[in-house]
Amino acid sequence: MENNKTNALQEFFASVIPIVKYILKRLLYMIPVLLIMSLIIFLIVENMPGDPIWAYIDPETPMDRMPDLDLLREQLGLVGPLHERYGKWLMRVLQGDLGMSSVMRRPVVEVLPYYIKNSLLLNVFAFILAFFISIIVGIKSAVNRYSAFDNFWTVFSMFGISMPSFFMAMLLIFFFVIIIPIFPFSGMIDPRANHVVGSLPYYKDLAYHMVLPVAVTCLGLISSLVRYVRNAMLEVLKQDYIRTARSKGLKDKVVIYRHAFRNALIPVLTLVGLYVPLLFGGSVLVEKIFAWPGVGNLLNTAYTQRDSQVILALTIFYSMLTLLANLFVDVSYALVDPRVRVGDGE
Amino acid sequence: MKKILVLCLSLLLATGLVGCDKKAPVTEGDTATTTLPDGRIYNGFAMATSLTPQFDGYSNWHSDMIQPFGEGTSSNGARFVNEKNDELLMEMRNANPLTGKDAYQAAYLEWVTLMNEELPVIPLYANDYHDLYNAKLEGFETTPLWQWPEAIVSATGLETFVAGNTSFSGEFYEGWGNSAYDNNIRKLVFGGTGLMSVTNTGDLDKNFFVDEYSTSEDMKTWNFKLKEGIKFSDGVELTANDVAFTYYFYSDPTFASASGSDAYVPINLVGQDAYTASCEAGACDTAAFTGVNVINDYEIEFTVNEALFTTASTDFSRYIIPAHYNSVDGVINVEDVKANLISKPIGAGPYKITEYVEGQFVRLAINEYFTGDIHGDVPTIENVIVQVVPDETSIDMLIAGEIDLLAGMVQEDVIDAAKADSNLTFNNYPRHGYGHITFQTDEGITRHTAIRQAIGYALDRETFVGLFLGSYGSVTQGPYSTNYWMIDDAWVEENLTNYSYDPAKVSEILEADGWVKGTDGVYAKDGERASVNIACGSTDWTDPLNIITANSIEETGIEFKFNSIDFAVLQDHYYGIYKG
Repeated sequence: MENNKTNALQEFFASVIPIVKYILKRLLYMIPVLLIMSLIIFLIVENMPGDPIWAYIDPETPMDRMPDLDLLREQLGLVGPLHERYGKWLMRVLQGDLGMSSVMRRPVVEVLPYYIKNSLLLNVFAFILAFFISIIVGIKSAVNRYSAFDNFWTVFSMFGISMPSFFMAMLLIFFFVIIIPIFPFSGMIDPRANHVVGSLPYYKDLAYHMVLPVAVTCLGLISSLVRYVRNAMLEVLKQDYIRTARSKGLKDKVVIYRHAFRNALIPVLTLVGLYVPLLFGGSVLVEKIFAWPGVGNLLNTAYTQRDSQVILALTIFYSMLTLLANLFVDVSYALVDPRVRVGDGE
Repeated sequence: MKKILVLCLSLLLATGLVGCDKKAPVTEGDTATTTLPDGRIYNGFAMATSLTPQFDGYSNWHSDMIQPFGEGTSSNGARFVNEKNDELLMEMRNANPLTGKDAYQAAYLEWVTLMNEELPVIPLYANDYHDLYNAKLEGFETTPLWQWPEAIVSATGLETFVAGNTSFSGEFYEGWGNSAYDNNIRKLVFGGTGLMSVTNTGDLDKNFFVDEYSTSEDMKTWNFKLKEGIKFSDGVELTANDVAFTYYFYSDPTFASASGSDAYVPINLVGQDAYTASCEAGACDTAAFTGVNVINDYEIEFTVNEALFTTASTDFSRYIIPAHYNSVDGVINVEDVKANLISKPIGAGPYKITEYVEGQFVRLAINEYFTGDIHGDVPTIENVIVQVVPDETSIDMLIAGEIDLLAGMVQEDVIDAAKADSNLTFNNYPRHGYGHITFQTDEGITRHTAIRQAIGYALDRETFVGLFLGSYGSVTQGPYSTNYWMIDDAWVEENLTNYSYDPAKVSEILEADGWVKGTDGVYAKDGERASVNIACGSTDWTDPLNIITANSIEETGIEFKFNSIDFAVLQDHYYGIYKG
């Protein structure tokens, strides 16, 4: 008994240790990648034309009321040779100081969470809904290839992919707000209503305001996801083992959901991983049209008003998320697909 | 074979690249054009400027406001040096703010005439602003100097009023940010701008909480008697101590270094430096601040270093903040105010903030202690909401009744849509500011007054306004605003030259000044060609300007080059901090 237990434990560790090692190694690799990325992003932002000082002061301030520009430059870390400034900036970032937002006039670390939270709220719902619908529709389309159902969704996908999200948003606003006024134009809650934050009517109102932006995000996602799921499923249905399963006399449902679907999930999983960074990044257009105070809106303001510290922080944040998502995908491959083993060979 | 093909292709590509390079020389044909020193490139800048509520020409046009190019900020962007100009500006600056209004006005009008003749700046347009609003709102009279946060106090007809807004940054204290949207909230919370405030006719007068004020003969001492019983929205009485506290707060050295503050203190009071120094030494000594003198709870006296016409507007137009709310045991902590109170100020104005949600809205309710604004009006509209609305759908929201006001609209389609709706109405007024081309008057071709005047006649500004703004805009004749009390349309019509498009006039002016057309059809004199290079902030500017000057060489003998550059770079050039 004792032996069995230790054996099982040993086996478990034997299988887990390479994965942990692999993850650690990949995390180590991320450091130089992030450093290079940060340098590139820093250089791009640094080389934006014009004096960055204009983002902090009103250009129409008369000369006799100008603040001490040299002092301000020093406070904002705009003085000194490039490598020195990069070094200082990097040290600050490593200590968790992302600089001052010139638009918000607050530390970037204080500004970001609120906007990320709002984007996340919108995206989590849109993503869950989109994946759920896409998987069901994709499988059905693949199984009943060229049926009316499949054709409908093919046309729908093409329509959805080629339609820019802002146009879709305007279309939905036109039909469901202006023609048939059932949903609100924009915002997160109705300021006239005076709801108590956290109360039931507050959440109801929030949900009501989320319908259209979630729908737009969702429609865009479904359009491409349906195609992926359908193709992955078709690929699997062609395999020999499906034919074998069918010839064994298994029921269609069992063949599709137990044998085919699980294998079709692998490429879909890649997508899930790659979409994770998008969860945190708001869509600039959708958020702008619906006045949703999310990351997309923030980034839009940052770009148009040269809020360099916010641009830097968000770009680094996305780079990091993308790297982590890639790692997540690779590791989950190993977990889902027995053919893939990490840590072997090389 | 393959290798030869690759070689040929790469050769072709390389020659193409070289060819491209040759095709786009920026300075082609500029050999005869006057070159500018210090790495300067442009003879002029096309941009828009807003004017302050109280005119302060000294800060933008006096020759004191010029520093050597590349060495410091020059707010006299035209680098305009003219003895008469300096003289008139000083005359205006030193006019007695109470008794010298006529002298001030005379100097102002003479100055506007001088600018119209010398033309360091050629105005292109002034927008026709429209405040579009719910027709149920009654008595809602807005002007550029009496905007909706002021006008809403005397308006009636609604229980809740929602103003659409593009954005706000949530900085509802003075000294952080210059956003007009944030300032709207400040006006509602503090009511007027300080001890002195602007009336609905644009005049400066004592604000609602001031009973009476007087000045010494030399205008250096200002005495304010406050009304008794004026209360902040938390019920605490506003006294002279709060007024003094406001001046201590903004003179505190920690204000200058507090995150993102505007970091300048435009106060010109005796003892301010000594006070700041005492704070830096460790203990703020209010006794050192001799220019601020609390006589009793309802009386305060100020002494200024320099008595100027603008003293009342620059030194006494500061929102009064309550001492009890913004200090702990009398100690000022600006960083703490910035971190915790910046979005929830308390003031003595008509409304108080009840809720602020970042990026979404500010909700305000009537300040029950408010006894009347500068005209004695008390608000009747219970709630004022300022909501962030997207530009794309804001007019639809107004038509659908979700919001009650869109202020300062300029787009033709938006204004026309609102005018077509019987549930909406509007107020319109010319922009308190203007779009213009400002010339470099110290160097280059545009240093010649004749060239600047000729350019005035070579630009079809009427057509430009149509292309740039559509139907809602007008052409102005100088750096003024007819919203000011000093000037009106009739005077402009009678006294200023209207530079309308006139090629014959261009020839007349230039030939009288000794300019002769060269073989290339462009006027030249002493080796200088009449070729101007103007920087614009976007293609919105360059497109209409290129259209109106498409045949300028054939028609007027002046060559125009309009370059669209990044606006921040344009500012570097305009303010003279560009380092070539």
